[in-house]
Amino acid sequence: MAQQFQDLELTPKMADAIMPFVEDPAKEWYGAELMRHTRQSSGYLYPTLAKFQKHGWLTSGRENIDPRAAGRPPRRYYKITDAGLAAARTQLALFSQRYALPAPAARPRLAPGAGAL
Amino acid sequence: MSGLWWVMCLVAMFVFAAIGAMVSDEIRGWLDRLPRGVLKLATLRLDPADRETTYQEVWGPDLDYYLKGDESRPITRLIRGMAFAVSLAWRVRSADAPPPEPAEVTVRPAAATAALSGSGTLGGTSVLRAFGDIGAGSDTLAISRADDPMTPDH
Repeated sequence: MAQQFQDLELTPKMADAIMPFVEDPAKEWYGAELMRHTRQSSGYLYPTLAKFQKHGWLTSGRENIDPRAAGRPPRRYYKITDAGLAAARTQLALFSQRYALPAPAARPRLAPGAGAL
Repeated sequence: MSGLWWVMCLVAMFVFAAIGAMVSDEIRGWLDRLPRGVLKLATLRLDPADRETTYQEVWGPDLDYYLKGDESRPITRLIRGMAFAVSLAWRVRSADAPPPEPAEVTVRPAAATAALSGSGTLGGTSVLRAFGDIGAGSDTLAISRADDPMTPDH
């Protein structure tokens, strides 16, 4: 079942979660691996990943391992979609603009001697 | 008498050591189940239809990866496993269930462009460069910013 692409506005946590996918679009990430990379808790990360999936930014698949040999079940991996990548780059740029420091010239300056008692 | 006493002490020592090892194994077994139990509780916050799939295919395998990873010493395992499970139990809501089937999304570049067309323009070449080859030579991108009722409060 393919997910329909929808736009999203990023929050700081969402930006943190999508950043690794934008840095290396070909890489497949696992949830636990992303948790370690982004230092986000599972309670934030998994709902965010689910939301990205539902909006068509990420796609997922199952790890290709033999569960008996590995001694654990296959994990779910996530990969960014083409549309998700374009939208993530745009939204990260917007996000960066939104939280950018003001230019030095725009900062108020004290008049000479204004600080003297 | 003295010889018998020493033999009894030796036997008691072995018995207590064996009991200690068994109790330790028992506790370790139960402690390993604790994170899984909490994770099961976390799934109760999801819709009933999503619970089993989410546990079996998404959260459970990642918890297993933690519990059986290379760095998994008993205390570390317990702490990491509990942190993983408790955080989900605390934060997750019914709308947070992942899509049940791993989905293959195929989006043509044209569809992506269409999805991105709409209101609002974006400038700021220096900011764009910070995120790679965005825009591929163009300084302005058009994006749609439809209101999203699902935007989280975090």
